[in-house]
Amino acid sequence: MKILFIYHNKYRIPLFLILFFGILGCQQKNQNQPSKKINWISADYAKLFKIGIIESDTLLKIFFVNGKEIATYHLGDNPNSFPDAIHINRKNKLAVSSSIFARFLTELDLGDSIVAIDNLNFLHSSIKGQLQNPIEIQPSGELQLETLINCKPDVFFVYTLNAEGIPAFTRLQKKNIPVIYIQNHQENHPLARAEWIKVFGLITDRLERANKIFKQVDSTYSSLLAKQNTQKSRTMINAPYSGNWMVPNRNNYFSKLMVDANLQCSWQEDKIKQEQLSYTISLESAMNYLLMSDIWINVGSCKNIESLIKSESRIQRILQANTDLKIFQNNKQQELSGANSYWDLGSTHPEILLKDLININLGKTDSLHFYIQIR
Amino acid sequence: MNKLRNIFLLIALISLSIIDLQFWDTAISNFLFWEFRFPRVVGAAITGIGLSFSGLLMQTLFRNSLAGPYLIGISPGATFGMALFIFFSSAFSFSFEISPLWGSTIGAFSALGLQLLINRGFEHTHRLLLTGLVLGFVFSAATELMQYFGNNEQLREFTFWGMGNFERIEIEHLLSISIPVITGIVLVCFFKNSLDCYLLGDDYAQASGVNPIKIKNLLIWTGAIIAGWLTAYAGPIGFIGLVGPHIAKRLYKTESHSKIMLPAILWGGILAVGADCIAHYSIPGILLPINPISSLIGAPILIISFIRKQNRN
Repeated sequence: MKILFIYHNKYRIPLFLILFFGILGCQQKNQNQPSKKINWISADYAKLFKIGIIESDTLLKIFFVNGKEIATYHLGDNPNSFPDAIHINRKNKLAVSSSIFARFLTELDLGDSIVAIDNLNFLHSSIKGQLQNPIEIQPSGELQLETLINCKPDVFFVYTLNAEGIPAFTRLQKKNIPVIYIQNHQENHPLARAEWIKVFGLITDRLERANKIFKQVDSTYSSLLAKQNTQKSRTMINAPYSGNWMVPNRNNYFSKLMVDANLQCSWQEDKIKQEQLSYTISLESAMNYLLMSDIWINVGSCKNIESLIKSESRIQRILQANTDLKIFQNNKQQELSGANSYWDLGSTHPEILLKDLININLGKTDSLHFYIQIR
Repeated sequence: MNKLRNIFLLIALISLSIIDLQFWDTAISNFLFWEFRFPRVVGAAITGIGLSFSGLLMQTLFRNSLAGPYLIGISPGATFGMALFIFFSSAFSFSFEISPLWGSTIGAFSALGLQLLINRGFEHTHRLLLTGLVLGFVFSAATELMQYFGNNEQLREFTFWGMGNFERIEIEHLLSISIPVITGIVLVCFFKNSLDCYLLGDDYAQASGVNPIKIKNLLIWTGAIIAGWLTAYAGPIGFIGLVGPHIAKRLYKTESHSKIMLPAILWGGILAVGADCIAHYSIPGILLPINPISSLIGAPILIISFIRKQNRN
């Protein structure tokens, strides 16, 4: 008779709730999903998206780094054929939340379709010239949803780090503005980051052109690798911020670029197993690596050695101890507004970045595109 | 017995510093040891001592063991000053070079100046407390606003400063951080008995011939200068100023300044050097931020001490 306790008043409501949510949770998902076989095509390098083709429809799946799916997009005539996917039909007016996305779109000759952009100050003049007065939607860092909705874009390309960032965009989905969560910054190979041009091409019906551009990037990158000689220079990267020195992990795309350019990452000799893409090392270790290095690249925001020493005075003593150290900064293309094509063009065309790093390694410093030697 | 305990604490601080210095590490050159490791470890010890001492002064001022420099707006003021320096220094050009360290010190003094202006002195501690809380909110809001408009580089600089570390302390800085700490300790030592009288209330202090307003001025100015100055070098490091004096009071079961001043500052040093040790050596090759570590060490100590006190009661 003990089982009768469930009829007790105080257990009724929790029991009802458990049963209600239990039954709700057991409902079969995707009831309307068609049973046709989808032909999933994986990308060559990118791990965070895949494209599926099923008869006249195309599906795009985008994932977080942990493999969890962010969203599935459907491109096709019938929006009802994949009710669980976000349907994309019109692509004439595009909004982007990063200059990198604007670069991808201008590569596809779609600069004039961009109606909204995060901040025009971050836009390099080589992209700006191809746009037709887009509206700024993040002039002070925060996304201005109302301004964005007023632009009535057909698609909004945005980046998100984790699932917590997604609810911010649900209002846009409700307004029938599909949000495409671009994850190229989470890829850990330079070519994987560039391969995301295929996603932009797919969404804007220019997949063939995107494939062609990427193929060219891939082959140039590979040919540069093939031409490599054996010279290896020990290299240190980044500069201190308030006593903290961040370095990329082995998995980081930049470490891969450096390895491909035959630059020996000084800090990675300590075999640290780290999951995150970068981590902080002590100033003491960083300076030790600097003492042993031949090359030092990406020195924060410093434009010359004087400003470098101003940021951390003890660097002067390191430079006096290691007189052979050559310092390169990635601000050759930086404009007065602060826009630097190193970030966008470097993402879409890693082969240019690789060529620079190879030339730095070989001491050919006259023909650098992004880098400049600082003295 | 107390002397023995103090000797034990001193030995513990020295031992921890030796562990943090890692004399036996042959991988580090003499140059790096004296330029980076030595100033960092000694700087951590001095900062811990100074923060704990400043915390003790604030706890005496408010006659409350949970008080600290943040209560009268000093820490938020110092953070605001540093933010002002990081986010706006590039907008102005000066004919002379301004050290970022001044940003935080000026911020801390601004908080005190506002306190003086609003309360017309430091007479009423409850008003100081209320104004301090309000000023804390105002400074925090202004700091957030500056962060909102800051660029990536500035945000990164400010975020890392806010996490706190002793890496920025150079060998030349050791003297400059020691001076306010030593001066403050020596100065307060002359008023040890007056502070004990002050703890018993303004009326008692006055009856004993101690001027409570003079004591409040001494406590506030000394505490503010030390906290503001050290925050500039190490960032806003939490819990050390609160926990150091708290442990000393609990272990020695007294609030008498002549008995707890030394253990309180030694505990501060131990906590700071201990946090620095964990930051450097818990995950080899990776540097962890000090602030979360000091909070993770400090918070359980406080909770355990509260529970034990409750059980005793």
